[in-house]
Amino acid sequence: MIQKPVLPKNWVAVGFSQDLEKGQINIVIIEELELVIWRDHKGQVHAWDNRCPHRGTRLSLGFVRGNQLACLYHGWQFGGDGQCVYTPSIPDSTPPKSLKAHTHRCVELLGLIWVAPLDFEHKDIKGLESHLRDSMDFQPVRSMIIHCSAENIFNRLASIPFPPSRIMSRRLRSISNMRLIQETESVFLWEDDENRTLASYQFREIQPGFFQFNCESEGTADVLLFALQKIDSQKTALHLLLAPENWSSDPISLKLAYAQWSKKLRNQLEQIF
Amino acid sequence: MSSKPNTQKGLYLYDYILSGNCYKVRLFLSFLQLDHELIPIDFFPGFEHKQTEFLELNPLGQIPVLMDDGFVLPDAQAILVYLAAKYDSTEAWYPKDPKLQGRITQWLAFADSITGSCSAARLHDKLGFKLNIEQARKEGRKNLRLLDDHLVENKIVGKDWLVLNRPTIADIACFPYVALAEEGGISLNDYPAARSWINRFKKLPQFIVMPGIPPLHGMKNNEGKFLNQEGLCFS
Amino acid sequence: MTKTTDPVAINDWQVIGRIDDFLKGQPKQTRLLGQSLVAERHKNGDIKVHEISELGETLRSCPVQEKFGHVWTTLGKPKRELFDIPEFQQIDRKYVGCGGVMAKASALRVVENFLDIGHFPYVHTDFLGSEPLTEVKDYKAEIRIDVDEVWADEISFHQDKAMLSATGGKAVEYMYRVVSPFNTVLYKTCPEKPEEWDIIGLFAQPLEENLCRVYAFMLVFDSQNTETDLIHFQQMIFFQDIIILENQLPVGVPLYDGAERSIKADKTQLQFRKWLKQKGLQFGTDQET
Repeated sequence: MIQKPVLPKNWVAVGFSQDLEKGQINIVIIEELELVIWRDHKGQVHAWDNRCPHRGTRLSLGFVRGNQLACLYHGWQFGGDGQCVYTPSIPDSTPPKSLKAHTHRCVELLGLIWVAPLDFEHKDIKGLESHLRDSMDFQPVRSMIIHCSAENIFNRLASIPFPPSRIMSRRLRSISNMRLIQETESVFLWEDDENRTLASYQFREIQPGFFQFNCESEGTADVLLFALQKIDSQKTALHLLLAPENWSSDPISLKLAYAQWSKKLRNQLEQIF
Repeated sequence: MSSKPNTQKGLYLYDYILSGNCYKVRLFLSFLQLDHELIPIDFFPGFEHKQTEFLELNPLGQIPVLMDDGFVLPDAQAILVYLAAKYDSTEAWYPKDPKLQGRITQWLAFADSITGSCSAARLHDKLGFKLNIEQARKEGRKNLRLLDDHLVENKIVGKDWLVLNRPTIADIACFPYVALAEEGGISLNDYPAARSWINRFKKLPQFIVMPGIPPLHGMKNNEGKFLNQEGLCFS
Repeated sequence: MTKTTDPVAINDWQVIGRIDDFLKGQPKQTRLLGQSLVAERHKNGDIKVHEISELGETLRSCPVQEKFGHVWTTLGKPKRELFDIPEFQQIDRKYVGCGGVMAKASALRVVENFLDIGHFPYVHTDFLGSEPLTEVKDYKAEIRIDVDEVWADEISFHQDKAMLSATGGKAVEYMYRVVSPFNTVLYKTCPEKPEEWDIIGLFAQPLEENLCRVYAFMLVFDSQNTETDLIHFQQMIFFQDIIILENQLPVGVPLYDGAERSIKADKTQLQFRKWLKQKGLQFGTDQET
């Protein structure tokens, strides 16, 4: 039998809060450990091992009722703390305290859902916010799954510059027509037949798996945040957030433009080399 | 096969309970609340759809086949268009606007790619059909990624469905084999937007299930009564 | 994939297809317990089964029987005869073979699911059960040493649409019988003839530890519905179970303590697991590290 996977000893972002509504269930994998992530009707988010203690059925197939997650197989219901509270085939009996789902720490910050081992405290991650300037208004762009190892992504992300928002605002879908020329290690030129825009980039790791990519271009500053979620040795989820110089009069188009650009990023990262 | 003469009045569907293509029609008939009768075809293990009697009805040897007052129409996507045009007085499911019809037809064609990949993989894995399974799964994953990316971008611009901010026959056509993808060995773990869309589908009024696509038990309470938005029972 | 070394699984009869699946002059390749086989019906009607190597070379010849609408073989030397289902002799019963459907699951999980009632309201909603009538009242389950089978009876459950021939919901009586580790039948209230039982069975062909082909069949009294209607109903039920069967971990059934938690309603399954442990069966079980 294979070694059971365990959660790494750090906070891992697994998706955006806005992508998990009340009563919704998701399945995420962190370093081969399968988790069920679900939001109860009070709004609280939970992360558990994706396995019902009864017959090993994936809890992610189940359903949310009130503030409980039920397994699809026999309808066993588990409260927010993982405790089984109801077994419908013997409806009048109280399940023993030992009958529990295996739970993990799960909090929301910066619009992301974060998971960590149970002994981690929320205050351990709240410090993350202080790393980022207060004036930055971060919004989710999208989550994506990339067929590339987390290590390769980490090594290559800094060398794939993102378009400055001033270009995106002007030419939302024609970035593909632009040539990207590297001038120095951190300075790139975005050019097409009509315009030449210089941009200077800075990339740093804020904490394991969480990176900040700054872009300064002709007086404007944009920030992209990448949260990496290692799924397994060949697959990684990337959650992108954006804080542009300003959100402009059409934030939706700007978000859409970056969501479309991120597919190019994915393609580049997935290129077999 | 209990065949009906071509002149029989009424709406009939030559149907197989496990067919996602037949389910597209069953779903739409439910959404439109149309009275109809199902004529079961022994697709497996009988391969009735490939036998002489059925081939007289549809030489392509495929189900579903719709019969409406004697008018015979095969092909799930064609049937969706016909039923919408004839019976949907709201024009919500297949609006008359030419651009929208063009977009919807794009997705009906895409639904066929999904059938050719995800459904093929399912027939191989579950019923032992012989085909190139690696190719089918590869195509299936490519299609699912396309669908997922599209749904992600639609959500950004405030659209929860494939073409509009309400479902159309484009969504019905793509839904079944995406929801059943895992039966063909194609995991839906990598397509969270598609999973959200599947969930949203199940909340539609008059939604019906098919084997492999369970209902949302979360919409009911422990007494088996449906809950409305505020969590109160109304039936 | 390699042939299992489990003697309990090897020295037993296993199903490899329906009688109708084997046509004269059309050899079929299949797998049993990790071993590749080829089966061919010859001009005289007999079926010959051989183990074959990965390169297709014919190896050992296997004994064959055609019974209960299906074809049976063995990779070893069974100590006992193939089980009996006497109701097959009743000529006024309608026999329906539903074909072999594959599940990415251990055949033992398939049998356990067949023995389970508590899942009816959630997996077979509005057919075999629905909320709030979820209670599984106490019943009897035992290993019958004389016949070496597991039996459960005095089971009663409210069902909306128990069989295709049922009109309206009512309490349905059940009996379960596990005739060998991968083969089981159930007896349930017959709507058309209340003094008889309708029979539904599963013969599971264990291809690999995590893959099986399941042949469901029915032996019922039903003058109203066609064979196709009945096949559709049974396939619907099985495909509803497939969602669960393909999403259970570990894949193999754990026979050791502490892996899974059970409740009173799981009596039949617990007797089944105890019986498998007594036999020393390994194929399709999860091994404790």
